Amino acid sequence: MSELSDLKVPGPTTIALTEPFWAAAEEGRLILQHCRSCDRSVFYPREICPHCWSGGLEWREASGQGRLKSFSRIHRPGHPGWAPVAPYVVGLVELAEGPTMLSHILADEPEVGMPLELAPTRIGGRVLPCFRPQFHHQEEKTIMSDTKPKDGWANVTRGKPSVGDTAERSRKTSMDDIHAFTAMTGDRNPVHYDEELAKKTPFGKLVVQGGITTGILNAVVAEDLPGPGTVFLNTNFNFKKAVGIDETIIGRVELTSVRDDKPICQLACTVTNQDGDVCVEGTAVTYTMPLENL
Amino acid sequence: MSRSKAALVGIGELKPTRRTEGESTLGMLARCSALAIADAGLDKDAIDGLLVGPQVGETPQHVPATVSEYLGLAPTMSNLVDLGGASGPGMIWRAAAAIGAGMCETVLCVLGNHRNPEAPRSPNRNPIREFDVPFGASGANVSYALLMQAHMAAYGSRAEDFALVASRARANAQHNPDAIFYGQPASVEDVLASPMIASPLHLFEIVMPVAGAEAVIVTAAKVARERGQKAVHLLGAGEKITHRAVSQAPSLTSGPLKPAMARAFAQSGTAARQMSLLSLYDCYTIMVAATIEDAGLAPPGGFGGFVREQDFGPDGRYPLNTHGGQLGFGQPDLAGGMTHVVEAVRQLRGTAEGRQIRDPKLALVTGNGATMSEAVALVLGADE
Ligand SMILES: [Zn+2]
Repeated sequence: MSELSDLKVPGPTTIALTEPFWAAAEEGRLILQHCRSCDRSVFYPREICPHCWSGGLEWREASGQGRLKSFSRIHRPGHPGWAPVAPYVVGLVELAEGPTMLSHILADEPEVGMPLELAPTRIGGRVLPCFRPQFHHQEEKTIMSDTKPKDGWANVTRGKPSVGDTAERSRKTSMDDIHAFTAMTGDRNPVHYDEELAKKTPFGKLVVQGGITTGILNAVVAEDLPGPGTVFLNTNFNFKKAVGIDETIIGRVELTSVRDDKPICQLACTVTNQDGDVCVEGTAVTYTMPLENL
Repeated sequence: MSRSKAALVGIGELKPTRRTEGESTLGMLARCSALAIADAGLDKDAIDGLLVGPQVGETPQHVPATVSEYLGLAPTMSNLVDLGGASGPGMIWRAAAAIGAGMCETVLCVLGNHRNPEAPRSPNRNPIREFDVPFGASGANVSYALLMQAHMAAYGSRAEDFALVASRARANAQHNPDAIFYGQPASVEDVLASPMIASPLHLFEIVMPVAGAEAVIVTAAKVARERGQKAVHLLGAGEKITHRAVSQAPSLTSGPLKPAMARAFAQSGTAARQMSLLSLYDCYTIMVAATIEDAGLAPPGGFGGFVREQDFGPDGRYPLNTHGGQLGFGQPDLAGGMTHVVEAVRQLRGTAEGRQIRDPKLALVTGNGATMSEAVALVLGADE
């Protein structure tokens, strides 16, 4: 059985512009260009943003999360160098940041729609940003192969939480939030500022930026559950109802899975308003960094 | 000028240099295009026409699609103007002609090249070579396999229905002694039993590369009438480019032929259901499936019902690729797309011996390039 690392296959034809992408790949990282003007991510790397033609592109670390849009198991490779590992799988990965890239997929049973995560892999003489199914698709395999499960939650401030744990916190929105968010992001959408105009939209009122609504969930996971050290690895939110000014919102999370070997949780999230209407509903994956004894 | 054919409203220019280091031609074209659109005081989304030059050593083929994708454009008219030093001026009248023909409104004409020291190791040095090939995805089979898998996942479409498309093409090839698969019909079972190349694509669902050539002479309708020639008429056309690499496709289940066919039908005042012949580009079975759906002959995901109801033969309600299509006739490289024009002319003239359709009036001809990214649709009509 041949190994990917032994293949004699063509590598990327790097140019100066794309050099940082492949240098990061060699370190096992995935970076994407991000446009300062239109706030969109760009793949593959370009000299100007294909969405707005701004030259203000900067490199950002990608989450490494994605979804399999399509795949093919290659039985007869187009390049003879790949023959020793055929059949193998390539697929289209819709990255969490928006763009789609083609990649090598390390999956025995790929399925369209399957969540993927970055899996840097040595192919020929270089490390490439390949992808594999996200951990919960691999859970069984991991548990089978771990003879002695290690404590992934050692030195985490609040320790290991349990499936079913919940936490919530609430706050009142204000016009100041809108100004602060604009200062932070440059989002000056008239639906946040022009009251007359906003009244004519389906919202019927001035609304706060979506980031303000979901932002309360950042506070819940970082302050309450799983607690200090927690960052989002992935979020998937559906915006059901707009939130206006001077409304009380309640962010709530419930843990739907907790890993043993790593401080990673899956959560169900909601943000509701004072009337109990669901404004945001979704799921998230968190990683809780150990902050004790650093 | 009162009789102006077109106006030149924006210019861009990069400062010339003797040498470049690690530049890409695509990147330079992008920077120059941004200067021109800014000079015109327009937004880049105003551009719906694109004329580009050859790019030796970086993008030998599919140049308009590669430049469009890089720039985030989706033109309804594009072309490679390959006239050496006359390419620039040649672009200007082509742009005017295209605008006059109603194919687009605002054309970006752009030329450029890097002067990097190293000679390219491979003829193709553009993004598809850099970002797809290293992962094990070389060649068109992979791209169309990804499109087919996406169709199956989105709609639950069945391998048997795709195989039936190939089987119907082989059946039509039995009426064309010139077809490469004349004398070699294939059943659905035969198609599904042929070797898997790139799942879910079987060998018999992929065109056979062949040597060949195709040509068409076009003249003014008036000239044809004066000479008493039996003519077939171009009644409408549509074009659209959306991307080059399959990863950049805006949709995996519907392609740029959809708007291209819509424009061709609108220009000709016709509809898909009026066609006496469907002459549809068929590099792979998925391409026929997507085109049937994009033409509105079946709902999205519903090509299977259409293929099962229609036998594609010359006596059916919807004769489709009566020459066997490229799946049955063979694909003479870039001339493969022209086989669909030539067969449509034969049928509309009434000279398709041994496979003539009845009462030929209208034909839909489609062309498709790269990864369901370059699309042209024509509506042709018989002499009245
Ligand atoms: Zn942008």
